[in-house]
Amino acid sequence: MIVKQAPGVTDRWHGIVTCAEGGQQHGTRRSETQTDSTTTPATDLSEKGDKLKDELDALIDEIDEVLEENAEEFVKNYVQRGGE
Amino acid sequence: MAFPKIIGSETEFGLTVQNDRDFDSIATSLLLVNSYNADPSLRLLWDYDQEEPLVDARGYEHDETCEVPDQQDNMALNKILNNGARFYVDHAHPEYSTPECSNVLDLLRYEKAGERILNRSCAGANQLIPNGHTIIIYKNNSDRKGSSYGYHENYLLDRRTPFQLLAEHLMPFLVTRQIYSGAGKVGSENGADPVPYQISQRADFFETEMGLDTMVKRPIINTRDEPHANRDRYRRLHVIIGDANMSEYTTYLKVGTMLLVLEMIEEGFLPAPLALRNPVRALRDVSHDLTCKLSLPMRNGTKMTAIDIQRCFWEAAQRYVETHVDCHPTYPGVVREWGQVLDCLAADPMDLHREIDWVMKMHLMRNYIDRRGSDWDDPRVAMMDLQYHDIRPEKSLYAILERNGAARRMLSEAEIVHAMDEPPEDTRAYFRGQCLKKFKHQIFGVNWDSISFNLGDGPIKRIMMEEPLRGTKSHVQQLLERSKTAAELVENIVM
Repeated sequence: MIVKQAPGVTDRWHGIVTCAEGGQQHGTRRSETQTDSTTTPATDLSEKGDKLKDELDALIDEIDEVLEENAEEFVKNYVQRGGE
Repeated sequence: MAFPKIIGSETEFGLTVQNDRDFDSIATSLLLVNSYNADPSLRLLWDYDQEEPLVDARGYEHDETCEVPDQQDNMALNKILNNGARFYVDHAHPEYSTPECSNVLDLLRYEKAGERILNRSCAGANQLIPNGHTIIIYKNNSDRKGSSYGYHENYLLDRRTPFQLLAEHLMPFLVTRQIYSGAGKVGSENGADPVPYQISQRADFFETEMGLDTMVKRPIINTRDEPHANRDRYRRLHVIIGDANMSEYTTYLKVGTMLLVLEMIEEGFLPAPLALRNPVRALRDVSHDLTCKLSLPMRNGTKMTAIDIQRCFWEAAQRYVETHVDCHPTYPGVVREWGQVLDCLAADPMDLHREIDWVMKMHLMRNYIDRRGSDWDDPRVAMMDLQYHDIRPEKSLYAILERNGAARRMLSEAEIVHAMDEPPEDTRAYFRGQCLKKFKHQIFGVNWDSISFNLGDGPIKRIMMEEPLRGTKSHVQQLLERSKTAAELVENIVM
């Protein structure tokens, strides 16, 4: 048995009219998967390796730029109450 | 033939206020929920009359108390959005539930739209708090200090499928799917063995195999039996074990594989269930094994790796799509990607550094550690662990990967933006969303399976929507067009 406490709304829910919807069921819509293909031809592996390394270097620099300051303090203060 | 699967996800977001150590998380959540398209003329209630969260799928009802907020609080805590979603305060967190979706790509669109909605509300809320303070929102599941908050998936199933059978098949599946659906986490919690990094945000928090709880003694299989639909026809499987993902591809695979497995269970297509000897222990062990090669003891005395177990499900799925040419058009793509991902995990998980969240984040951290000469205890690495999940495009490390072409995408930005304000067209969310657009001042209350109108005189009229596949665009567009007022709409439905 569920007991609902102090439902302030309930009074106004009395006397409602319940009507079921009619109509037929329809099929599901077709959706397309997008796949991306960004493969580069492996003509010069060492050149490709250098390029990847440069890209990663730039990415790591970008991360240092946006990372919150005082990381230790910031992370320490991130305390949540449990949810769900 | 199985019912089409209606699905939705619920995301609880983490929250902090920069430069305000004493911030109130409930007040901040309330501010956020009330800062998105705020319209003080609206008086919409969430209809708690329709809820039964304590009914257990094992065939009984728990004897506890469910508190229902009063009318004023109800309106402040709950927002129902034009896209059919619910945006609300759950305990001390802002939470977003997608509208009902008919397929994995729509679910992905509406979940990502939720992140954009939270961002917009955050921008509004930040205008209303003292200068120098900034609200920051994270799509993750742990504060790394022992508190976890959830990401829940919902799948509408045929009531005739025995719950016990579902549970037996899903146990090994849910324990092992984290190898391609984990969001990754630095360290361990809740008394688990120390590790520098692990696959899942949530695995350390699960303590039992089956139960109704979500906040304590968390179960791998949740038994809540509240279909939000016709109870005689449907059950809603409530999956609480998943991580919230940033990666579109990871979410696609997490939900897409689940849909296939559920359909195969309903169709009786799977061989006898695989039984782990200790699922709770296996869940943690899999999360802590970054090689994905750990052997797990099975009840029949054999040993299998997480990849072995997933391959059994994948092989069945492969046969399923081959023999069911009329299966949902998204299924063959999911099966193809799933197989490729399992192959990559077997060869070298790091190959998935564009696809799978836990690998993407770890790849970034390893490269950071290498280049900066630091280690896993570096506070900047812990900061990265949190900031990967920041939902602000300018601050999110995930968003940086996306902008640099280092994250595999499944959606275009335009379709995400579209999903912020338009409901899906092929579920009852369409009717809810269109009613909100057209008759918002006459709507009294909303729940997933009903919408009620206050027509000024006489009783409140509640329209029941117990069939999630009715109320679609092709079903109600004409009805909505010929109803100029809410009163006409109700009259046209009753007639």
